[in-house]
Amino acid sequence: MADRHQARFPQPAAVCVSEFRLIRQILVLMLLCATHARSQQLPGGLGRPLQQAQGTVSFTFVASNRGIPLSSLGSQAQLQFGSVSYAGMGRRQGLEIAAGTTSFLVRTWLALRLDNPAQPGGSAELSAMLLSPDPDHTYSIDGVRLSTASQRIQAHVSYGSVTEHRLEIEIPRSVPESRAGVTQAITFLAVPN
Amino acid sequence: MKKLTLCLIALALLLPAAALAQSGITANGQLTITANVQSSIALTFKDGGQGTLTVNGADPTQATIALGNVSGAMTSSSTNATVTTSGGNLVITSPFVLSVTGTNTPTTDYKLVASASAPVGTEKIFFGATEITTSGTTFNTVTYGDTTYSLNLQVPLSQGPGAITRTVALTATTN
Repeated sequence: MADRHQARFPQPAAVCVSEFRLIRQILVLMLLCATHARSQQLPGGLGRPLQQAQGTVSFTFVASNRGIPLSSLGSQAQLQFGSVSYAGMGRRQGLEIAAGTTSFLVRTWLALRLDNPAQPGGSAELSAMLLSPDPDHTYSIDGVRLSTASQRIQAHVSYGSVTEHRLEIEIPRSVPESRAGVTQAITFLAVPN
Repeated sequence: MKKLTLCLIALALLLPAAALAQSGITANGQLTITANVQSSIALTFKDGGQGTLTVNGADPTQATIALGNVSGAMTSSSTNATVTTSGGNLVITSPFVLSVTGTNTPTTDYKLVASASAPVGTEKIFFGATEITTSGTTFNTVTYGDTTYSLNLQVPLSQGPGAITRTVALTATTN
């Protein structure tokens, strides 16, 4: 009877050993998770606190010498092409229109600057994505076709320097003007390297 | 002990999430883009294959049809235009191709207005069977693409000899 009792209700010492193993496994799991998450961010892996190591990156659109002026600068900018057409309507300094067989390209240049006071000599990866899908137009920056998923534009953008990027929008000739107008937003992301 | 275990499990689950939340140290910028796309239409001339039409290389919206020397005794001109007599008229005929392309247009056809300059005498100009008047003749629905027209110059046999120079202005408008 005593043996059966012991089998159903283990000794206190056995309970302690089992719990200890579980706690130890959980702690190891926590350590692994923390290490993995941090290693995704810091090239150097473990070490300094993430915020201290990478600082705060700021994103700013600035005036471009090559492109048409943005109607506002800062981190939220507006680019107004005005009226454009296959026949070249709207062509002006900073705005190129290239006619193709089945479509035409509207092209301009954007300038932007990334800053990070904590890492003035560092760099960030620049990505961009469309805010909403647009089946009628094709958008690209520096030749990288954009979609609603983030696309890498430049792997290393140095903090403090102004970089210019070519923005192209392809407009099919077959789309009627009632549907051909462009209303879109591009979100840029800068992730510290 | 059970409570401690549960707490540790919860911590283990939360820690990666917290670490990933920290990983979102990114800078964002947003560019709003707007453009109004306008429809456009382009008109160019093409040779009808008989060599009477010469397209201006620098500006294919302009062309010249030289019908050459003609008389009632001829069946073709010195520039290969067809020459006949019909109803008391000397009829000189030469085909040409008008190429009209529409971009971002709402329809597949356009309107063409042709206006002839004042006649030298009483001669008339026709596109096919339709007379092109000085006040303007309208072809309401023409499909985009290449359209072959037959230019007919009808000169009354009673009209005296001499050079005839006429100009036809063409205007294509999206429908």
